[in-house]
Amino acid sequence: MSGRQKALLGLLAVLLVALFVVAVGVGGDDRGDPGARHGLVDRLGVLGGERAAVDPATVDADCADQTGRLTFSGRCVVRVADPGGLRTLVLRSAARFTVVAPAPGDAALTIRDEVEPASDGTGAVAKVAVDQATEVGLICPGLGGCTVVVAPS
Amino acid sequence: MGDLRKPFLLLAMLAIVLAIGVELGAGLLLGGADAGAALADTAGALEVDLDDVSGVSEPSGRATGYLALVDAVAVWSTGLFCLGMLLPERVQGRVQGVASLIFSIILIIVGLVALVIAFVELSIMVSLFLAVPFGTIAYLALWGFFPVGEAALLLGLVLLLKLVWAGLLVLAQPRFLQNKGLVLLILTTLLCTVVLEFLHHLVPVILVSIVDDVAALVFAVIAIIWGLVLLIGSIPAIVKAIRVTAALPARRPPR
Repeated sequence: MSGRQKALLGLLAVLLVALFVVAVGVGGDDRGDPGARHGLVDRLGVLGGERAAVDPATVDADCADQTGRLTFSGRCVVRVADPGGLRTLVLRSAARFTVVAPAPGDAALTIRDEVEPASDGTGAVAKVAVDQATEVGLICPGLGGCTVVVAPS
Repeated sequence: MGDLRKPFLLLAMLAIVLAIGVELGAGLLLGGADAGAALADTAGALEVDLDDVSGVSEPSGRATGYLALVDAVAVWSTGLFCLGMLLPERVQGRVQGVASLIFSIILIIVGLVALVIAFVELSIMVSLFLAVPFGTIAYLALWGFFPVGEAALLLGLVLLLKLVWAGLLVLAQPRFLQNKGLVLLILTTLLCTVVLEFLHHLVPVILVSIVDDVAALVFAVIAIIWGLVLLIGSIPAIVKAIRVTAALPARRPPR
């Protein structure tokens, strides 16, 4: 091996280590905002990340006056049958309502979110990720009644 | 150019085996720390309340382990060089072709399975992240707090071991540098390690697991390509071994 080749190899090794050090230094300890839009995730979502919605026929509740239509005041518990994979339970209402649901996966935690009607007139929409048979709690604020529809999309 | 320096070759083998060991052990070495407080803190940005938070820990990632798929080719190649020290050249020629064929088929199958697993996981990650806020919280709980610092330490160690491996190979036999396939393999594995470290620092922490999974997908594809290269490369050796065997005079049983 000539001296030139040795020097080239040494340079390559140094370059790789330098690249690694630069990589470690790039970026910061920014944890990020989960509520913000992220171009990378949006693009991956377009490529097949969007999940199918839970079939309203597989949703059961004491407050259901017809398939997929829930009318209640106070609280109502919605029972979702095992969807056989990760699905999205889409709940729509013209007025504000609160959803209490367990997180899918192995994490043991319950999430509570108050859903407000959108300013564009599309109403209040809650998308709950479901991957097994589960119960989702709905709370109607105030003394009046609420109507929530389990939407197919 | 001189003879093969066996001690350097054996040390090179040791270095690459250690590197692959660290990669395979990444699942145990990385993550596991409690991330409940970080989740509660980050969930505030989504304006949701969390109750009964438990069982939330840092993930270990997938890509560091998947680097082992690419490095399996490096271990295999170094192993074949070492085999040359034990077996006579004639026997080695015959064994090498068949063994490479079997190894490449196994590598391709494992690579394909790993590819599917990583793709399914990536799909779940992305769909959870996009299902604001319930899915996003679930994503954060499972994958949201990747231990970037620990991974950098581990990848630094892996890179060091691979550089040592490459250096020892050259010291063992400078003619190895004339083997374009080996040089390409060395560059592939070194670059994969550096690129993974870049990716870990390219996005905010909550998205690192997604990028890590994308890298795992790419590594699985690279491993499959190397498997195909080995598969195609083993065919001439097998054909040659068959011809040589067929040309040998048939042994007659003793009377």
